[in-house]
Amino acid sequence: MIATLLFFVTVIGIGLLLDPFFAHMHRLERLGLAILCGSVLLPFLLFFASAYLHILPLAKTGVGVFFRSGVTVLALASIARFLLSEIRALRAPGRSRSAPRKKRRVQISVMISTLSLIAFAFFVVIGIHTRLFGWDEYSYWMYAAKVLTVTGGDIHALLPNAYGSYPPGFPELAAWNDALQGDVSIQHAKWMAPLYFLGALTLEWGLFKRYQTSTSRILIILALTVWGCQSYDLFTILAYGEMPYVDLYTPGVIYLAFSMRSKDMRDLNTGVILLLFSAFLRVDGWIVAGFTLVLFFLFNARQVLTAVRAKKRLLAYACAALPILLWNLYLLHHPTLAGWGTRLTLSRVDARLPWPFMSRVLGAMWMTVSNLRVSPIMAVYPLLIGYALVKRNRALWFLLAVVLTQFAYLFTAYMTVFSSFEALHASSLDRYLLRVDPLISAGLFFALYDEKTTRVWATMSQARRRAG
Amino acid sequence: MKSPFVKTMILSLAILWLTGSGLITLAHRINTSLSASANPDAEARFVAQIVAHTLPMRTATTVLYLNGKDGGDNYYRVAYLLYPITFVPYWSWHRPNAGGDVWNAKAFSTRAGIASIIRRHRVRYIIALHHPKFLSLLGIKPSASKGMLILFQVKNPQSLRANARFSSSFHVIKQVSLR
Repeated sequence: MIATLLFFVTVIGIGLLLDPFFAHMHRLERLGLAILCGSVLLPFLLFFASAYLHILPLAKTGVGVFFRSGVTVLALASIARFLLSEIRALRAPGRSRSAPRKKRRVQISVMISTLSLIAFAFFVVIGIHTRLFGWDEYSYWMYAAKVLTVTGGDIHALLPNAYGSYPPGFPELAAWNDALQGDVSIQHAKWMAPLYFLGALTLEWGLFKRYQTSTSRILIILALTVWGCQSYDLFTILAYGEMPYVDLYTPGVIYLAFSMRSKDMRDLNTGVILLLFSAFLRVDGWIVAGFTLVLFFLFNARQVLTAVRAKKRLLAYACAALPILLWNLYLLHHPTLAGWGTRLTLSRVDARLPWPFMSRVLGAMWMTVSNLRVSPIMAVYPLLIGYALVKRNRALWFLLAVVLTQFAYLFTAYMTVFSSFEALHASSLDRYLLRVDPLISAGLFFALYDEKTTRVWATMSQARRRAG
Repeated sequence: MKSPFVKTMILSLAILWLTGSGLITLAHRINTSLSASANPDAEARFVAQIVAHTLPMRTATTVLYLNGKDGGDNYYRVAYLLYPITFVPYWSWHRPNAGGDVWNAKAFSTRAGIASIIRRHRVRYIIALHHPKFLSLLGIKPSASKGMLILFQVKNPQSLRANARFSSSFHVIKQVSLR
């Protein structure tokens, strides 16, 4: 229990190191960002220490102890700094809460969506105590975490594995958890996916709040996110690398959509940072982040060009890309035994294109999409296209285009990278569709609740001043 | 959908329906997944326990694990549990690495195929589930009992060839009945 708490504290504390960049945001948003950023920064520190400083950060003796206590002290100091600044902000006369809350009767929609969120949390708590192990847990994610823990965080030990080219974000974090627990176990790591998901939901809550959405509407959107794609329930209780990736990637895209709507450069920065960070958590993460950013550029070329003109901002983007860049630099000097990438020759891919094979892949994809668990959010998609046609909302169009591109990308991946056995069954597609679900529910926000007349204030203080 | 009330009510009903159906399917899915994973899990633990008591648990112990059963699932579970021991990568002798029977792999149709795997990876031990085809290749008479786990030691892995002394290169160190 104490070890789990220490794990949460260190992740959040390291994530709060980036808090000065997000100072203008809602408090909950900052907390969510701290969880998400910490979940990339902490493993990046461990990876950097092992690959570039040549020390064993998780070793039980010598420099490992020094490194771990250093990270813990740093995290605690950054949490203390955050808390102090928050207390000071609460005491400052200009920033105190002026308007007392009005008493309102409880709406039935608030009750339903709160209960549905509580039901989800309840099932997650029960689920992570179930002795249920997924294939990917022991075949790679937790295996890699075990290797890292036993070798004291030696990143070279991962290279002979079949998944050697996978960025070590999630395994490093699980190894950090193992080191704190003093025990290698899959069961301990099951807390991690819910933590990330909580981070993503907290962040979305704060973000919607900042854009002056009422609590009842936020609750509706979040309940739809959680239950709209019912793969979330199962994969939140498994220690897969997919979950943290989804929880970093989707808020990044939602930030980009909001920046398109409000023209706020700071939201654009946050979106880009989250997308670049997410690349450290998935082997093809940089491709997905890349095509999402290209799509954003196509939709919003002027804003992007203005953003890129500032040297300081470019530097910040380059820093955010450091984890994935340094990982690829490391791979350049340490070739792996087997890696992610196509093993098919052009003629083999060509042989897959004719009808029988392709129609079966498409059929398997359709089977997953039309499955009862995924169908609700997929049924909303055509409705949203209708809305987008009527409302002419660019942010909504952008989200819909990202979803479509994801499908096109996944189809291409099945045809070129996956083995024919996996392609014919569209293996793991229900998992991959998780990254589409929050985008569609955010699209629902733009379609239903986004009134164009509402003026958006760049900061909370501006909004409060206006309100007061 | 101009009226906010109608909008909210429709969405609330949708949430109610999604939560209800979600709870039902989730309970069902957890039960199905549990019943599917309980037996392989117990078997992998049993195999790992026997091997951990018999072989030295270090990286230098290179093992060829031939479960012959379920396309990698059992292999990965056992490899996870016995970590510091080096397992010869499954995909190096069985492609695609999902589905299918291990013994159908081309490498296990001839003595030369087995010998080349053992030489290439410097295999010191073989853990094999009882299979007549494999045992006859090694030149060992299959026993009548089914569900046996046999641990072999390979005497000179680097000089193993498919010659007359092939069968004498394997030394049975343990036989355990699984059921």
